[in-house]
Amino acid sequence: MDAYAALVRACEPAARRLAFVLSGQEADDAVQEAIVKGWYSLDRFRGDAPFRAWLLRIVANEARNRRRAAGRRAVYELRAPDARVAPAAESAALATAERQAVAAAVAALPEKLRDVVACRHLLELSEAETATVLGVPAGTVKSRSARGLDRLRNALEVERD
Amino acid sequence: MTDVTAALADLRASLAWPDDDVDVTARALAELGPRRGRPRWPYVAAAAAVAAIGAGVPVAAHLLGVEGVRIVLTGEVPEDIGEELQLGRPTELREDEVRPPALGAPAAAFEGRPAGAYTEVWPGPVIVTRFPGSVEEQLIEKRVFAGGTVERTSVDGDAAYWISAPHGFLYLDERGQAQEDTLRLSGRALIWSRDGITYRLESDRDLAAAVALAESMFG
Repeated sequence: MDAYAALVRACEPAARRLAFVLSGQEADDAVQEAIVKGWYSLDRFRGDAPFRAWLLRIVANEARNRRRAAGRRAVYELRAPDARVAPAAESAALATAERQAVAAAVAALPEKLRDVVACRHLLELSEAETATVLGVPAGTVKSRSARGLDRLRNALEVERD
Repeated sequence: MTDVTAALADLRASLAWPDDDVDVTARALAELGPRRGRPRWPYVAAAAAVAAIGAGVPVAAHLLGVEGVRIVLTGEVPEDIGEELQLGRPTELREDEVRPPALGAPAAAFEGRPAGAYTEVWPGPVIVTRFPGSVEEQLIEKRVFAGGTVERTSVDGDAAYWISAPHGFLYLDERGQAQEDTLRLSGRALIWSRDGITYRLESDRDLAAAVALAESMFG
């Protein structure tokens, strides 16, 4: 179990971020459950991907199942502004509003596009790792990413107009 | 036109990501009980290596740890062996490294795979890799799976393992973290640790010859 714990701990930050972008709330519960499921599923780890991608796939499944069961979309919360930095109030408010618009536009994407956009552009996973984590071919990741970005671009331009 | 990737990068930097002070792993581990049966962990990073292997490399047939992939090594060391076997970046020979005197000067040297590693290659081929970390019996014996075998031996008094591990093995890095690594050739490798360095010797030699070669490195 020590080796499993060591590997899981190394993956924990990525796992928690993945669950966060896929499910929003209850992200840590999804990761905790995924680690437990991973332990009892080790016999099925075939090694066709590195351990990290294998574990992240379990995390993704758990996070998405929880999101669907709750019947809600992921919500992307922005962190509170750094109080040590005091930008001009008006520009800070504009930037925050713009980010909130982007977050809302991502959250409003169809599920399949949103998950790919989140993995590629919020988590910065590679195409190959996104494919493994979401259980889709690499070509699908590429096409969904392109469609997702197009939709986002359109949504944000409409927002500005 | 909206630069949507820049907008996403800005969003990424502004999200309320989970706090670092929650130890989810510890919470999960507290729930774990014994698993039934013997775990089989085929630790692999070999898939990427398969993609890197060109079709036109001929001759002496060493199978990388993936069925159906044939690496061709002639009596000389091909220029692109570092890329084919994922040995890392080509680098200068290090003057002060221990090496088997009978083999003479290495034909090539590489660094960086796995992290912190330095690898020397001789025709044959013989590949000797050194990387920071240690191999421990528990990790080696329990984490070499998917058709792998382990035989315990010794190199100059240090515990050593004669392994076949088609899908890789685990070792502990400098921080005590378990890391994955794979063998570069088919057949068997001799792995041992000394003074915080793990050595991996791969060749077509049998156990006795591999141990003799390894022991010759330390005079």
